[in-house]
Amino acid sequence: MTTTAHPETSTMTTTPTAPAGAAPVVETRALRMSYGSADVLKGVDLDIRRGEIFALLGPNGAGKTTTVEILEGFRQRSAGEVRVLGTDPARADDAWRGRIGLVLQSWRDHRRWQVAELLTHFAMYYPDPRDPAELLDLVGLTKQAEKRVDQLSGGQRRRVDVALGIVGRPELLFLDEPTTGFDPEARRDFHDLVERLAREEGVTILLTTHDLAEAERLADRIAMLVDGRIRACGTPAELARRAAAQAEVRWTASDGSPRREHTADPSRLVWELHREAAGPIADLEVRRPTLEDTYLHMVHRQNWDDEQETGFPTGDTTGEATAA
Amino acid sequence: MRGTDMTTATDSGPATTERDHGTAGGGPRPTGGGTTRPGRFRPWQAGLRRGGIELRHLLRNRKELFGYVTNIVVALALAGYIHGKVPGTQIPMAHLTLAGFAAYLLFQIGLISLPQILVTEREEGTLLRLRTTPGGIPAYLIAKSLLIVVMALATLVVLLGAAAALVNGPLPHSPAGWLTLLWVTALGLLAVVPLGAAIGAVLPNPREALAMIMLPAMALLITSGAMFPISKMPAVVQNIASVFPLRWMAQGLRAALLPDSARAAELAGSWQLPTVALVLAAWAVVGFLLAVPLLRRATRRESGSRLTARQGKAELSGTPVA
Repeated sequence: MTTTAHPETSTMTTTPTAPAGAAPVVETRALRMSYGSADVLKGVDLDIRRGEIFALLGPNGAGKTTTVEILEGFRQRSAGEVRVLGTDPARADDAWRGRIGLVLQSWRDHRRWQVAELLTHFAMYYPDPRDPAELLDLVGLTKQAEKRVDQLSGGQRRRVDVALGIVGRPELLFLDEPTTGFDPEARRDFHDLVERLAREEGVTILLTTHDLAEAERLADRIAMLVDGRIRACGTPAELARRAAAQAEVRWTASDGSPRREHTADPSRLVWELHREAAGPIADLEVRRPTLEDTYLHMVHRQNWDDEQETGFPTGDTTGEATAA
Repeated sequence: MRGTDMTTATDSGPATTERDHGTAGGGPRPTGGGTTRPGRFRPWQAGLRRGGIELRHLLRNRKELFGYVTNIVVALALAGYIHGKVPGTQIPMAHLTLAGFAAYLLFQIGLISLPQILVTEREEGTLLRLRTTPGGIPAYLIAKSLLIVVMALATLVVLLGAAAALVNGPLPHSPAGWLTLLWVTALGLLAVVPLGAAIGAVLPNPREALAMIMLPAMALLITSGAMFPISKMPAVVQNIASVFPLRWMAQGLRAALLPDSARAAELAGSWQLPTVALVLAAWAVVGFLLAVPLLRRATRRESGSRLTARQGKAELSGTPVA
């Protein structure tokens, strides 16, 4: 297999910042997925380190779901190397299953079960489960312990999913659009919980989301998956810096007209403006590029690396021929 | 997830990242409440627990329970209403109908209730949840087996008990009759339950599933000699019905419940118990051969995005999900 140099990924994802000797929790190399003649993943390289919160962003159809489901062991890949907790998820066993946790969007299962009954039951399946009472407390459902799952609100239902996701003390937790439909307070509480899991318990978290603010708030590192490739990967600050790389300076000129200029050195520009005006400047505003700028920039950038569309085999399409 | 709770609920696991998940009982274990038992996980243990909980839920669900009770009430009402003798015998026609209904209710539990449960739970994500849980799928299958066996036995006991008490229904006349009742019931369930599981693994969704199974099941109910002697059917229909398990389940239960004089009304003039055993065993084998790969495939195919896609489709078509 050819190792194609990805200008973006090679600089960002494989930076050897992980402590020496600690194997990444998730590691993919040249991961490819094709459904028939459609290439959904065109060589994805990822390294997710132990204990970090890693966000995977990207527009619909970029291959996010496919990537995550390959990592979860739900899909067979067409080609490439994948290691999750040291194991190829395509050949995962129950012991491996017990070390990962999943919180998916569309679970509506076990509706008739009481919340506490459900958590207690699922604790049975793991070698070292959390105590159900503590778990209820942790996700803030102590008051709902006796309620049936189908009597809960949407946000409460999702907390049950989170509780079930972490009942077995997973080392790696997948969160798929976890806060869709949450009110701001529930969202903040959820973010606190996720951070606690990562910071205090060392759980590695892979978050997929459309909520850029959420990714920026939670993630240690963010990868942007666009059109089957990782276009950028790094800390939120790194990504924002790299994106447009230029800050935007806005002000109102002496003739009253609004002005706008992009510059790599906003400080110098502002200084020059002040010198010209020999005084204060109306409506001066310096806007650093945000993660959103980066994101939109990446998503809309066409023909990014068409030159890379070379010599990969289409792979043995063992997976289902139905794209999500 | 209330912010105030965040700092209080610390658990006892000190080195979460280093714990060895492979070995049983290695790490520190929360002791609170005695709700989780230490020791190695055994799927059958979780499965039986799960089956017990599901049974309790079934008993609490009035709507669903009402459905099962209705079947029995209809059978009893019909038996009370039917008069006359089985042609060529002194046996009340109602006895033949009750034996046939008993067979049909077993048939229905295996081939209608079970697929519906499976399809619904697949759709809601229960199957996916258990797939993502270590040992979840074996436990699920054990739970379902327990549920189905208890449902079947309860149905038989209530139907035959109530029929005997209220409408002078049939009960086995001899120990041999009881034995026949036992093995025909057991083999009958083995013939239909794996088959039902296979059907549940492939049917698209609960709504279409019901429509797709109900019609053939009804046709078999009429043509299999469960409601009235199969000898009244044209030979072609007899032959077709004889391929399916219901005819043989009904005949086996008649052998158990009716006196030997009723043999006169059978096609062969005898109970043909060896044939009953053979046909039911053959269906059991076919059912298992189909169910194992189909269930495996259905479970393997489950994933979050498939679940979302199906639910999206269900919402688009205007039907509420499950």
